Amino acid sequence: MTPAEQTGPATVEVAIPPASAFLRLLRLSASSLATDLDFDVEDVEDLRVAVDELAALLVPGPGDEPIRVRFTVEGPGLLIEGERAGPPPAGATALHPIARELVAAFADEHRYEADDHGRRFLLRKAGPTP
Amino acid sequence: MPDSSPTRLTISDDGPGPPAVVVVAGELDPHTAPDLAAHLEALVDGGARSVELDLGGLRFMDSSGLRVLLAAAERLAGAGGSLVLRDPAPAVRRLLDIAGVGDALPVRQT
Repeated sequence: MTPAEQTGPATVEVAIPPASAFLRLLRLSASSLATDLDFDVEDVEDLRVAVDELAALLVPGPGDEPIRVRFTVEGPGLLIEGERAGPPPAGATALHPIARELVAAFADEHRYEADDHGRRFLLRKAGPTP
Repeated sequence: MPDSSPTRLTISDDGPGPPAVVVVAGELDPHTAPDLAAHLEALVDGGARSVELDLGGLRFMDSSGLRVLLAAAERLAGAGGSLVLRDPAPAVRRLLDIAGVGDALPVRQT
């Protein structure tokens, strides 16, 4: 059964160490799910960039709390939520202006929040129209 | 380990030029961008002023990679030189277009 054939919500969770070397695993997960959902090539590429930019915000900082990312199939689209526990380092509270521009263009909805308890993001990408 | 793949990002010089041609292939992200930054720094430190990056094999680039290219272009421009991107893949070209960096990072299709 592929994600596209799933009748209810399908969720995949990936946890990676907080190191930039592992961001590619998140990109791979996103592109794999999006391909199964019949996203076109351009949308798959857009999703890879958006996931990478938002997840990269969770990498800096001390400690080894993992970055946890949940991919949920929402009809023809994808909801991606990431989080890392622990207070963020100073300066890790916003996307770089270039990254913000890219994510705004490539995602249908996105959010990033940081507080003393941790950092988290949400990314939503609509799927192909039937 | 994800960074153990030899094909993750490869950077190779393809002739001293001018223009000095650097072939960049693989994935340019927060993990690999410092490698390209160091390579380009060394090239400019060595006297290169006209640099062309062959991006035909670059499969992924995010804003960290784009910032490396912009920094190199700015440094070269300040030294009277230029940076040109050659043959970026459609996804990379799209990223460049959306970021609106065409003036700073001219593209040449061969």
